[in-house]
Amino acid sequence: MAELRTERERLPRWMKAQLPSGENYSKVKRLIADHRLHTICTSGNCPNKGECWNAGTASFMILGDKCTRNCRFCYVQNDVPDPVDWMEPLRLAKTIQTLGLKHCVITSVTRDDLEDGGAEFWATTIRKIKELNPETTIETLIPDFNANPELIQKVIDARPDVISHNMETVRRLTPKVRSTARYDRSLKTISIIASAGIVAKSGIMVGLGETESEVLQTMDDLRQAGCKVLTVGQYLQPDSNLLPVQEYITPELFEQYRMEGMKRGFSYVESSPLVRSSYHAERHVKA
Amino acid sequence: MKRQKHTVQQIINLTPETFIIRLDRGNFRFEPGQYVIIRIPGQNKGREYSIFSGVNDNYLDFLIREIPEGEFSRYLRHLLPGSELDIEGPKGYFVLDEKTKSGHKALFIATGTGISPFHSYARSFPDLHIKVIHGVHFDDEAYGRGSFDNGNYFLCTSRVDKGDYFGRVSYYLKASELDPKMIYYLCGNSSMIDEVTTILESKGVPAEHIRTEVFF
Repeated sequence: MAELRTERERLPRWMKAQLPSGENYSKVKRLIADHRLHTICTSGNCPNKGECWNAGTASFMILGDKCTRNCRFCYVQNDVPDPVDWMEPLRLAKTIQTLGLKHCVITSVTRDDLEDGGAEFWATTIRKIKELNPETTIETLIPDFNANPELIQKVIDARPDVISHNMETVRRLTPKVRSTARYDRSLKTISIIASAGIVAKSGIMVGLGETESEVLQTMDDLRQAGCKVLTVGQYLQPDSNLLPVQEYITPELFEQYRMEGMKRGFSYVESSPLVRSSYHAERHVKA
Repeated sequence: MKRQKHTVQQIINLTPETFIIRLDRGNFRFEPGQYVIIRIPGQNKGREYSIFSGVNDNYLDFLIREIPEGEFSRYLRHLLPGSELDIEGPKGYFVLDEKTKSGHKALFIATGTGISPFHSYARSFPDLHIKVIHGVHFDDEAYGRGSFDNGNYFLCTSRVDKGDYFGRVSYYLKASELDPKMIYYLCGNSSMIDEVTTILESKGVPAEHIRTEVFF
């Protein structure tokens, strides 16, 4: 296993993010704590937490905060998960109601320990959010469910507006970056979503050592699978025991990726250093 | 994450490259298959290691390969009994599922020190219905072989013809018939995991039956 680094490089000037503070920030923080919810903003050590929470939005993470997979880019703890909390969907739906969100993004840890990978829980969560928040649009960022069509169909049947599944990186780097997940399996997951007529979205991180042509190939593969929305953001090492950054991609190259994506027929490409999966997520409902 | 101090009891040299570092168990609890971060007290440097010993052992063993340029593993090898290390954990989900624990057939596939979690399983649950395929370079790298039933341990050696099979694990698996109903547990580096998963899938093993732990 990799030696843990302790020294961190200084970030380039274009990577500065807003510090977490402000009235809304405190309100969101309090609500999340009061309702015993998790967010990928905190569990993933996201650099945009300050900006998003201050704007009154958050990306909620269901099914606990312990993931059964040990991906080398991800800050979420890899551990034996706690039992499923079936009251969580209601608490989450109420939180969204209190925040008055027009759009929400839900993700989860991967639950390989559950027979259905948590698909039924996902469906219940989406339905409960819709029941209490009929005007709120929902984006779900789901695990691969081992590309099992029956399990993915459970999420599709609950009718979220967007279903996203992240490729995370290019084909060559997938075994070194993700644990258990496979490049082709993720593509299959996306193709199942797209075939059902739901907006299929995906995201990749750059700066992990990929080449430009590999990024473009991933775009081609995603389009082939029916993906309509793509996010491209700079990988940042969230903790010293995770993969180090190989390269800080310049804003100019991000812009080039955005244009290449649009040329390939994506409806939306969000590509810039601080972009994360949920960046401008509310726009993607219309893709 | 909880961090606590443990004392080195012994360094057990196995080969010129590998050794076991044995620490006092203290009140440390874990599930077989989990790993920890070992840190040098007073420094933040650390490295992840799967636990090699079983839950019933009153010590904590870690099987370590000394990396030629790896300061950390070299440091550990030269520690004297009585030295202290910080242990952070346990972490990880590469634990046996209930089906395997209750006797469902499973195949453990490891390369090199990737045998650690399987060794911990075998020491903790002696009645498992399992087979182990262990890929190494030389026959003296059959770490912890004695903890597995003789008929259930299969050694693939890639550099000398002194194991049960002369060649890489992946070659052996390609040439073997595999039961898609078995549960397959894989532990090793990312290339091995990727290659073996592809072989298993090509032989009809569903993704749900493949569990992996990558040594990055």
